[in-house]
Amino acid sequence: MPRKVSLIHFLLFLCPLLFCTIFLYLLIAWSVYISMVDWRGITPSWDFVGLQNYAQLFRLERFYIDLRNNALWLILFMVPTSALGLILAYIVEVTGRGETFFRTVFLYPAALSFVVSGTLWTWMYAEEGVINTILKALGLSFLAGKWIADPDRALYCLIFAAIWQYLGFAMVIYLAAIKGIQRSTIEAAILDGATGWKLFWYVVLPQIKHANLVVIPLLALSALKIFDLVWVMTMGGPGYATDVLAVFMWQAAFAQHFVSLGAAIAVVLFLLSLVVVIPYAKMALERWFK
Amino acid sequence: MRWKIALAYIILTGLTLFWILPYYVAVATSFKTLKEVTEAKYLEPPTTLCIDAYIKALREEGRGLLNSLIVSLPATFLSVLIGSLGGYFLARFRFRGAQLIFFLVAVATFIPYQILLVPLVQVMGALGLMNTYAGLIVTYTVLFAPWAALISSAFFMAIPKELEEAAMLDGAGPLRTFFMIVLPVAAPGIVSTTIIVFTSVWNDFLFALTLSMSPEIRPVQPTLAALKGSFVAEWNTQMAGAVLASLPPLVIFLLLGRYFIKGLLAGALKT
Repeated sequence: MPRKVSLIHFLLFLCPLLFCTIFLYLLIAWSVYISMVDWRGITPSWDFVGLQNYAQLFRLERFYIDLRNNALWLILFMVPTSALGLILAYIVEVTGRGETFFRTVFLYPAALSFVVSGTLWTWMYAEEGVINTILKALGLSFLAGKWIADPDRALYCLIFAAIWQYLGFAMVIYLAAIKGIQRSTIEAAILDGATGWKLFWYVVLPQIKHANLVVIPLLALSALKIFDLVWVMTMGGPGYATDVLAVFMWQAAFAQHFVSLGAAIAVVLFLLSLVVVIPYAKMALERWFK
Repeated sequence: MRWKIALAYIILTGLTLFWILPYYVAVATSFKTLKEVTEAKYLEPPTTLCIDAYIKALREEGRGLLNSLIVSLPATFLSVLIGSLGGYFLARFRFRGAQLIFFLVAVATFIPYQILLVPLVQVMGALGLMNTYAGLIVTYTVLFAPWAALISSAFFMAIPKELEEAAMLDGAGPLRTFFMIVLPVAAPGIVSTTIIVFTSVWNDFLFALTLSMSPEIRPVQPTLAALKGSFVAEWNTQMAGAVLASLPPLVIFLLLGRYFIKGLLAGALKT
């Protein structure tokens, strides 16, 4: 192996990847620029207006509704998915049998697209659909409702569908982390009399911190990016009950042709994501180059 | 302890049934006639296997499935090729700027893609690639090559260096060593990378929606979304459409689940 990296190797191996990456960053920079011109309508306009689009955005009520919805989504999606994923991983590991089976059952939704799962869940939630029918059969018809057509429930219904889709992902990562714990650590704890919850709380949980640092940021990012599911199931409705920034951005930029405003929303979304992405990438970097 | 295990199994069984439910109902509904669907016995399997819904869904979605195949296969191949070349280099060589490149690649992988959309439409328009297969293939390649690099490099790091050193001593050049020695050894990792990238391309909605307008080009996900909108009350057709659109990644997942999971773990940068 050559100790020194020669230019020709660099070009051969890394250039195509660098080209793609640089292209992505150029697009990001260009988006930021577009958010500062006054492009509205089909044909571009390049008059520089500074932060006016952002000022306009911050005056729109829809922006705050979406921020709230994204925030609700973040918390109500991230917390149950990671907690349930961890518990599930622990149960599967402790019971010891059927791991492949349970992994398949809980992870298969991760192989589906949001459009597919959105179609499935629209049917589950339909007024004459699956959930209402089951509730009525169980004599619980007082719980039946309009679900995603009900402005008070719709957002939670969508979040639940997302949990359904991501639970397996959280579970698999926790499962890998639990498996990584030294057998001897657990055996020593059991010898010391740790059982059940104590074993989980004091021995397992501290050992899988690094899994939390993977699961929680990635779930947070998915909550921030959420688009397809909302688009397919409710289009942000009823009213703006399930509207999120990503949907607002698309409609502003490509349906209403407030292109610069759309770019401004995208930049806001991007900046919010950096709060998670930068520490995450740094963490990965440290593991990588340690 | 015994009752705890029993309780664990009860929880697992309940959750298992619930997690299977949406897809089970979708498959059951897709094989029913519309009349049978209205009887509201959703949990029961269809009395006869009626494929009318599939015929109808295929008429609407068949082209979308074909388009997705035409776009996904080359895009996946190119992403994995570019990604694994770069990923190998990042995993093997320590050079100045390596950390910066890794960082930039990682950030680009996880950002919300909304930030790329408006300029991308402009670039594609300027290149005459709007609403073309080529436009979609280029987009997905650029988008997923960085991620493929991260996933594959996790696997390259696990390969012992001695292997390449031996090949190099025998006079093989770096490219030759990569394709003849490294890739075959890293094949399971490349399979994982390929599965994750293919699934992501096939399942993408955002770029498919934005960069394709006509049914001749439009991939399957936006086609399914359109089908869902135009067959509102025909649940069996909608479900058949959803099942068809989900089949390729789902079959891959069921057959190659272990590779899928390894790819997911590597893709989460959990090394």
